[in-house]
Amino acid sequence: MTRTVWRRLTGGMTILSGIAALAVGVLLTIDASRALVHVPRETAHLDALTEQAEDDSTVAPALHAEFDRVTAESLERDDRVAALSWTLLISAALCVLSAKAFTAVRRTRPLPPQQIVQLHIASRSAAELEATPPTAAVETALPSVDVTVVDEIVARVGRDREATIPLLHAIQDHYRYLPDEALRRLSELTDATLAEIAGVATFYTRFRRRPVGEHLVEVCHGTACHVAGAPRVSHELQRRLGIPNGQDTDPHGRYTIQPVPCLGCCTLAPVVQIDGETHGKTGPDRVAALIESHDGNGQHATKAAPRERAVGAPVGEIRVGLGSCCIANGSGKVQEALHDALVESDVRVTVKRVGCVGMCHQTPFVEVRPDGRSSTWYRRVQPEHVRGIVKRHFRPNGLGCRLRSLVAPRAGRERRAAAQQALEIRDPVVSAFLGPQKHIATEHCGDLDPLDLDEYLAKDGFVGLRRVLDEQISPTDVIDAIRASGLRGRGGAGFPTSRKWAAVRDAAGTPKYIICNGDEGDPGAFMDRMLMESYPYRIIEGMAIAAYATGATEGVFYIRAEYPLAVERIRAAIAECDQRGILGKRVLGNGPPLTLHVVQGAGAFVCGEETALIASLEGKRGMPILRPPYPAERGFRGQPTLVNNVETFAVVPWIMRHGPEAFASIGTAESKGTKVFALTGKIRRGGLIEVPMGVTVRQIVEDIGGGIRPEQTAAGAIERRFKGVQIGGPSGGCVPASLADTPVDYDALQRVGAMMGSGGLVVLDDSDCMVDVARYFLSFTQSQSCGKCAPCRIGTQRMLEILERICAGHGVFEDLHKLEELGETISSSSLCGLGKTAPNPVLSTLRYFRDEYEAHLNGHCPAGKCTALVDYRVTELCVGCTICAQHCPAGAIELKPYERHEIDTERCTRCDICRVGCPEHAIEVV
Amino acid sequence: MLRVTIDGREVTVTPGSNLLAAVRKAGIDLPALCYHPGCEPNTACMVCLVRIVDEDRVVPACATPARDELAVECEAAPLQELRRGVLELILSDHVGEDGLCDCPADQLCRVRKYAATMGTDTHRFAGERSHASDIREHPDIVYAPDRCILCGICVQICEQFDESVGLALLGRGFDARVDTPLSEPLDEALHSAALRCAGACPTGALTRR
Repeated sequence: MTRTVWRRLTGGMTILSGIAALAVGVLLTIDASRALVHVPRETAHLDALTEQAEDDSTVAPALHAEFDRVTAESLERDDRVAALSWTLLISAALCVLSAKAFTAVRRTRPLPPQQIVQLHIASRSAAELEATPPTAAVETALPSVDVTVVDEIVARVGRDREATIPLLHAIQDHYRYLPDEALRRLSELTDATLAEIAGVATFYTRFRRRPVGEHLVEVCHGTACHVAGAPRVSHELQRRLGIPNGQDTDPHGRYTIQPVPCLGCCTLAPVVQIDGETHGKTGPDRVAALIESHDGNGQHATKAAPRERAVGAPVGEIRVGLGSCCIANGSGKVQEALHDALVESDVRVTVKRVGCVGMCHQTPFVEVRPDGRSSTWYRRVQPEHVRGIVKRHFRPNGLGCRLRSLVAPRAGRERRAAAQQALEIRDPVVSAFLGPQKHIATEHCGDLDPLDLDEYLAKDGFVGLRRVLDEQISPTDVIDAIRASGLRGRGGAGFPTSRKWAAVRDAAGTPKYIICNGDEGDPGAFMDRMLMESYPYRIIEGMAIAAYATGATEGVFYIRAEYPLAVERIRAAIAECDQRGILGKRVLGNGPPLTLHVVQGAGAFVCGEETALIASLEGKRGMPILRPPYPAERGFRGQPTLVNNVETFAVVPWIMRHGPEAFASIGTAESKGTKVFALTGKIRRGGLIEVPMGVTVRQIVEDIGGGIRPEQTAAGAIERRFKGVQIGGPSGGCVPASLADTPVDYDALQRVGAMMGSGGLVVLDDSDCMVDVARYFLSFTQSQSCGKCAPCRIGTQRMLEILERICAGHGVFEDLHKLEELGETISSSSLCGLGKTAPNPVLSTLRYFRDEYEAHLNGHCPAGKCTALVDYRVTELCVGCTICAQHCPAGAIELKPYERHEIDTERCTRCDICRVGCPEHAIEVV
Repeated sequence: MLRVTIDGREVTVTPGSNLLAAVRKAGIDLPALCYHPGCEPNTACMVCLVRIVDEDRVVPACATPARDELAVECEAAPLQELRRGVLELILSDHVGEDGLCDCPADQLCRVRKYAATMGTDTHRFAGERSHASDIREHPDIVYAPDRCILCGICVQICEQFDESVGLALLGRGFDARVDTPLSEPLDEALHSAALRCAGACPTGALTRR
């Protein structure tokens, strides 16, 4: 029925029933007023007649007749009144209802056609989704492109070869992809040839060569996300959005799905980013809600301008951890809510942004420090807790605020809810997590505002650098100090830092360059991101000391494009240092010159290799070259160049401040100091930790991490068993639980077939398939291989093919031998570190988990992860609650209340939603 | 002159020579596919691997400069085995469907030549191949992308000849390929460098008509 017809109908009804009600009302009133006059008269008449009858018996028949008449009249009147009253009631009700319906129609505005499409997509049933032909790709003709923008971009960014990657970023920011016309125009305007531009544009994964849908959905495929079910999330997203197989955009051009190697929010796994907004813990069951909520708040309501906060001396401080994974977990919203709550109660409290606290499992994290009283920590704070937290610690200001707070509903409940989030610093959980740690690179964690230079200075910032400059310690003495400290490169391979510095120092040629390698591409690692986001000044100080020691005068931060907050904070910190005379013509006013700037990567893991990184800085494809010559002799622009990892620079200021002996006293014989790890995976307390070298893997997993996290299902928690840790990412290996007493030490880890790597530590339990983990890493290295040298390009592909075959149940026994042969060949003949270490995840799992490989050869996946080898089945425990049937996204379970359900194996996508959601443990994986 | 010892035999080479020249001078036909005189070493094929004895490092001979008094191991069994493995990998993405190189018979394909002399097993590392049809739009040359081993020689020659479009190394990983940028037609991409590229191609990927 159309809206107009409905409107007319309801309008007409309202008027008609209104008139009817009115008429009946009038009749009733007339009747009542007549009865009012008539009834006493009749009564009087009957009374008189009765008196007469008592005196004269002949009147009796007349009296009876009169009685009968009056009674009949009265009954008739009663009936009439009842009928009229009912009519009045009904017509009045009809009038009210139709009037309501009428106004409701007027209030609802028609949906814009776009939104109807969205709702349509969101509400399509599983059957309809199935019916979408997989090849229904809409080959839209590429729109013609106005290239005058390219001229403006070149005028702004520059035209030399080194500007190629920034230029491509700028072009993509404008068009959202790289159109051919724009690239042709770029080759006309710049020093790079078309061949070079096309080579670069097709090398880096951040550059898109095809138009992108209205919304970009990036699914993180880091290690932690992979073991938490990222492939299932991708699959479910693709189904839900109706994206045909082999395509990345839905036929309506609304959504484009793009896999990302790692977003570095590993403790929130699995992670999905929609239009730059990160959402954590998005399992396949949450995909639908996520897309719907995104459709709903596409246009954020513009917030009313915040009221000004009270002025005057603050009575305390509230600290909010604002690293990018904290923000993804909602601490940005908590900060906003805090601001509102403080305005409401008119309290003068400073809200301070601090860097990563490290306790990612407790985020959003808030610390309240009222003046003169001890501080209180609050964990997993949600915006609704905030008002209670403020009221617990601070009295509202002014009579009005106090009164309002007293009479406010739910005030007591708010305070109690807040109290439940409070965390004692002496809580055994906290001390177990923090106790074994030693903070050097992460000194003052949760304490420092990342960009407050004065605070950094007040907390011994730039003291190390000042000491070097003021005491005129010679560059060779600085290098000697680093040698004495025993510092080795934190990027993974563990090359002695002092030797690198000395080589640059001794190399002929000026200028010399210094590069901070912030291209942390390892999936499952986010240490460098966190260091750059939380301690930008410390890294700058470390670089300044290294620049002084090596004679470098110009420096570059090369940072992954996937880390926008790190880029933003490092840029801001450099600008602040430039302005305050810390960097520039004279470092700290009396040192040598040093200028720094930031260059963004474009999505290539191999650019973490130093020669590839330099090629990328020079605007080329990030392909490594044979060393020697090392960058120390001939690096960036052909000049001596020092390339060190973020963490290496971050510990240098501490060494110069406390002396090399203090650093060397921590750790083992060959590995000194501390190491920062991203502790993620199936662990109770994941987070960012810094531990002294020499602690064992077991201490990290059990003491700091609190052991294996039980799996949460609707039927209750399922205890899981510690299987091993993946350490060192795609270059590292798996250390089995039986070798968990291996200490964190460069050489000890290498002996067991793993590698320190940059510090990703993913804990695996018995629900993780080691063959799948190996396959995951090989597919990563294969897609990240630069394609230059044959052993890596073809060899990793062959290994991947074999592993895929094994996971699909088609492997043969000879394949295991072939994997070992291939591994040997690739690691001895590849050009760079990526290829040389690529087989490690396979070789180490083959070494420690060969039984799992053999089980796969026999068509069985012990962990129940390899979808081709497992089936889902409903056991006799089923009570027929229908939850599984309601939630199955593939429509593979028929709804049969109070009966044992069945799973259609053909339709089942092995998404695991039914097993996790079953309240009776009635679904098993076989 | 520099004196280099190859498997115990001493040879002298001119300064600036690489180890490949020294090894060849010692009379060993060390396989090399991506090296071309006049081009920078590409270090793409990695079949010219030799071992520097003092450093115990395996290096590609073509990209390692000769040094005086340098001892190099070349013919030792593990090295031969390693080189054969790498060549088998290259073969697996180059051979025709029947397990044999299908380059035109009149074209001397160096992959086929070394595969024959080194006794390679064409099936050991067999797997998925990159497939692409021949490009015949150029008047002088034919490009068969599925025979290309991505040595990079033609890309360098195009740069040397200042081709305005030329050939480029595109993509990444197993999908990496040599092609004209933005799918420009081959006859518009290659002019003066066309015949030089065909002459330098180590396989039958780029051939004269």
